[in-house]
Amino acid sequence: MSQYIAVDHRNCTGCKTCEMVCSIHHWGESNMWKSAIRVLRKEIDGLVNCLPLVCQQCTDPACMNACPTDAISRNNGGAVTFSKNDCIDCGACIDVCPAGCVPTNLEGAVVMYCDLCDGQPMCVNNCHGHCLSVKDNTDEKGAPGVRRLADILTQEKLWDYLPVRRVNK
Amino acid sequence: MNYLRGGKILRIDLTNQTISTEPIEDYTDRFIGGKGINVKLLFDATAAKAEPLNPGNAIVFGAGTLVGTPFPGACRLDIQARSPVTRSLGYAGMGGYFSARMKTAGYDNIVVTGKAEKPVYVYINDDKVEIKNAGLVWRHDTYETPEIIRREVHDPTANVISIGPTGEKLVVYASVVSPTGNSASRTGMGCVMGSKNLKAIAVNGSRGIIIACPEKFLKICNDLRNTLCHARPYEELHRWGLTRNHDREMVNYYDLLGIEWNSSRDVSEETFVRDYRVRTVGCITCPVACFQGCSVPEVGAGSMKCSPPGDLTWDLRNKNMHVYWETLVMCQRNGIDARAVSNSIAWLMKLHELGIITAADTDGLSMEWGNTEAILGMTRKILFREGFGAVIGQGLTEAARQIGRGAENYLFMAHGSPADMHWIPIKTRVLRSAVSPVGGDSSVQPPLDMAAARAYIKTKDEASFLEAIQGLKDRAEKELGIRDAPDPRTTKGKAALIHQKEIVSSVCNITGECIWLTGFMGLPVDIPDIAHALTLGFGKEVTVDSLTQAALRLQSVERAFSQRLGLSRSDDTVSNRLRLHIQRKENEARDLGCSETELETMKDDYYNLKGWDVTTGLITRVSLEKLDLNDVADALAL
Repeated sequence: MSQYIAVDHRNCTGCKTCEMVCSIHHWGESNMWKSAIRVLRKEIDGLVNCLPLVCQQCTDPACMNACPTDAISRNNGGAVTFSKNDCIDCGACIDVCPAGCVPTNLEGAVVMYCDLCDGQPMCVNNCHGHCLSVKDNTDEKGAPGVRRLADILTQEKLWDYLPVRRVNK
Repeated sequence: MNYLRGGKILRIDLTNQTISTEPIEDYTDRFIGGKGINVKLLFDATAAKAEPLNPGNAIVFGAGTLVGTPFPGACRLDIQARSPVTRSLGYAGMGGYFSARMKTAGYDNIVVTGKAEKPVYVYINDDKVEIKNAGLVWRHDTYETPEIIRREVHDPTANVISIGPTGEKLVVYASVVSPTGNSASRTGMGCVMGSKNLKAIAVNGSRGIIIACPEKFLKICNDLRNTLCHARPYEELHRWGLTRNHDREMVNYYDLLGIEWNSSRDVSEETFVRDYRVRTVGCITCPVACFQGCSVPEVGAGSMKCSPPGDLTWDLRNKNMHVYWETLVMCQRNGIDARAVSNSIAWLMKLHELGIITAADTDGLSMEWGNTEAILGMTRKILFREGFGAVIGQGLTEAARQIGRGAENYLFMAHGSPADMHWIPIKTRVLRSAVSPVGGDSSVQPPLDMAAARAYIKTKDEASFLEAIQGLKDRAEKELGIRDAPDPRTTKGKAALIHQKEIVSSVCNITGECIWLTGFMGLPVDIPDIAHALTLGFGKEVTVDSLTQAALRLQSVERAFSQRLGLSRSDDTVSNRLRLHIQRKENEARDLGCSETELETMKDDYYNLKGWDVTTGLITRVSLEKLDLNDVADALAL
């Protein structure tokens, strides 16, 4: 049974600390484009709506099924992982994720997968708003987390603000 | 390696449509970053006597050294130019997300000079910097402009700051605003942008901020965030922003001022937020998140924040929270300093009360205290420079000259800038308002003498008062070596109290840290934490002392900027109406307030502490050389 980072976006104040700590921990620099978690931010008519998007560790991941080269697989802990060497930059994983949770960096669309920081996710530890938490993925059939995020994207009209596809290759 | 930096200064000349960059290194040793570098760039880039709205004036944007990292609260953008409000140094800061994105595009500071022939905006995307036609966004407000620009440049994640119609119309109090209510409000920086035909700046960047010791840096940020979240005031500030605190404080402020208002119980920010809050939001990397995003049907949405709820309710005797909100949303959308709007309307209401003006002077609006029609109507006139609003739009000093009949005697001004009407003119605050290079500046508020002033009006006799302030005196003795500093009745130690808080404020401005996360709001971030973070970020030691030196350099260059314009000791002053605003019993008003003589005594102490000439208040070559600012001394021909 794998774990995933659950998102309660009603508590998200949009501070992007999760993005910064993720990229520093994995890459040694503070850079949202190298973070596995991305905070969607919609600023309309004086109000802000924020939604952190991060891999929901689906039990039957659409991204893994769509990958033509087996660059996406599961590690021993059950987390969905990514092998840069096997990636051919086709973007299929990005397109099929139901909630835009496959972030890329800007240099050649290298995918930034959430590795759950070996069980102690930095983003969760640094989230002051009780917006992120680690939960067990108990649903063996599908992808409840990602479906939930996709529903939020639809209900709150957020699709146009996905922060994952900035560069059109 | 350029640790913690964007790395470059971006220079944009709108007259010649030229763009250039230079490395930041020439400035970092002495000024470290943020406002420290900003003010030196402004000093160097502005023609010595350039009028505020002439192309020779520069406007400079700076992101502090810790901005773009997860150091809690490092989010500030500093904007400086010669001000059309004070006619000397202008400064306004804002939080939000723009500053961090500026650095990831590779720029720590942006200097804009000249004037575009037609309205333009600037789009920065890493090394690509374009001056673009603003035809599509001109006349749009600050909520609409960012979204239109993002669509036009096909960049949905760009961060945008803009001016609204008020800045376009060159109302001197115009502000620079983010789409979510962050506002660089004071001293008319939006008016300076308008004078350059510069509607907005949009920025996106792909670079990271490089940190010398990333894991250690991450750990101290994490630890500090934890400490913050467990600090006593945190929960209240996070859940309610300043709203509930304000509800209590406005009662206390008016009590201290000795002014009664019967309808005060009708004003409740807490109730308003309970009824209309959509979401709590905040600035980048801030755990406090003090903005309460509210939306009122038929009126609109905006952010409830520290200012201006008191200004638009209590200070105008307005008990209608819907009118407050409508005024605030108009101010946010169109881009104006709501505090200046409140101050202007309060002044007109005072003039109306005294019979100096009538409705005939103000386009038929009867400026009676609390008249909601007058508040909304006059705000609209000021925002769009219509009718009598055009008189206010030139600035209150000029408006007073035009009205005549003694109207200038009722201005509520600090160093030429409209102050907030619930500013308590106890001695430290009068001193700071007078010597501040930009007038009323709420970031420097020593708590000790304010706490003592409260004890003074609550205790029955001298013995119980002295007992009540025993702890405050102990603290002053420990921190400043001046035991009497908190006593509101004496001028002793007041300059030292101000100097101490000015250092904290300057260090925050250099690093982009929000003052709210420091002792200012009872939160724990302090200069040693900042020095520690910089040490790990740069990979070389930064001491509290070196930060203090950089803070003093910042203050010296600010002073030099004013001095070059001919300002000296006599300009370090506040209007009499502000100074004499305490209306308690005569002996209490005398003890708590500040006479002209007392202000002059404190100014002597202040100039002495800064090493400036006491007789003239002028900065000296010796004091500049001590701070390695020989070039500034040369520029002043000292």
